[in-house]
Amino acid sequence: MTVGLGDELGPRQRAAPSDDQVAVYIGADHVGEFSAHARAVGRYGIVVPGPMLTAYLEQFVRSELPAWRLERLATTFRVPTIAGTELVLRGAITEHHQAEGERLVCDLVIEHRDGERAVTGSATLVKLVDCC
Amino acid sequence: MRRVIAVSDDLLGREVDLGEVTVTSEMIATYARAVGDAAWLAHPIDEAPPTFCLTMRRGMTPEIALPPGYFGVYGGHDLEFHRPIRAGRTYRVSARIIEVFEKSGRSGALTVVVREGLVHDRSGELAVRVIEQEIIRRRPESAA
Repeated sequence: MTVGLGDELGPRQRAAPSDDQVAVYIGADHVGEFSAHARAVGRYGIVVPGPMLTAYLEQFVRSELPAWRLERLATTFRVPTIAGTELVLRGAITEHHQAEGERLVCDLVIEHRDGERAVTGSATLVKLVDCC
Repeated sequence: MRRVIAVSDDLLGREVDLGEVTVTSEMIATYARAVGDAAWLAHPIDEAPPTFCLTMRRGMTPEIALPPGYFGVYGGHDLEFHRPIRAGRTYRVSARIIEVFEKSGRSGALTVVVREGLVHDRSGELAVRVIEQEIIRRRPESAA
């Protein structure tokens, strides 16, 4: 598959990690009481740790660009994401370099269902060289 | 101007050894399940997904003592992947505070603490470099 400047990645819909997944990630037995407490004090639920959303972006890039290896991934967490909510992942190729190994730079974003940009980022990928 | 968040001279820039981590296939599988990485779980696990490195150093370390009424959140990070993290290998993790600065954000003044985390393999080769930003701000009056 050939890729080029301006190509879009996604969009792909995906649910944010669940309460149980967050619990496993942070090494807790469960987070039910935190979630319940959050709702009791008027919040929507527990906040997903930012690095879990970075993992979502890495998986998204890997599936969209399987012939490329991730070299760098930068993310900024703009607003909290609540466990279990609906997300949309999308991106676009903004740079394509040929010198010293073929490389792509992609802009990435995770949006909440209302279109709010929760996570923005960029990825640099190097083309995998066919072996032998 | 007096800084809200003070970092002692002996901490700023000083590399702190956070110990060794021996990575196992089980650790990688647990991580992959937690972040819903079904594609990674579909193959034999001898290498970790790139972002696994973020679990090798828990929390924002070295820590900074915050004054009463302030809190910190994880603002973002920049990950450089130099070598894959592999099951059965041991890595040394270290970190340091490289910069502290103040700025104005949408919700007022805040302090940014920039840390560098490094993951080296046993031969001393750099596997991953993480630059992360902690955003520190005053807790809203209503939440006090």
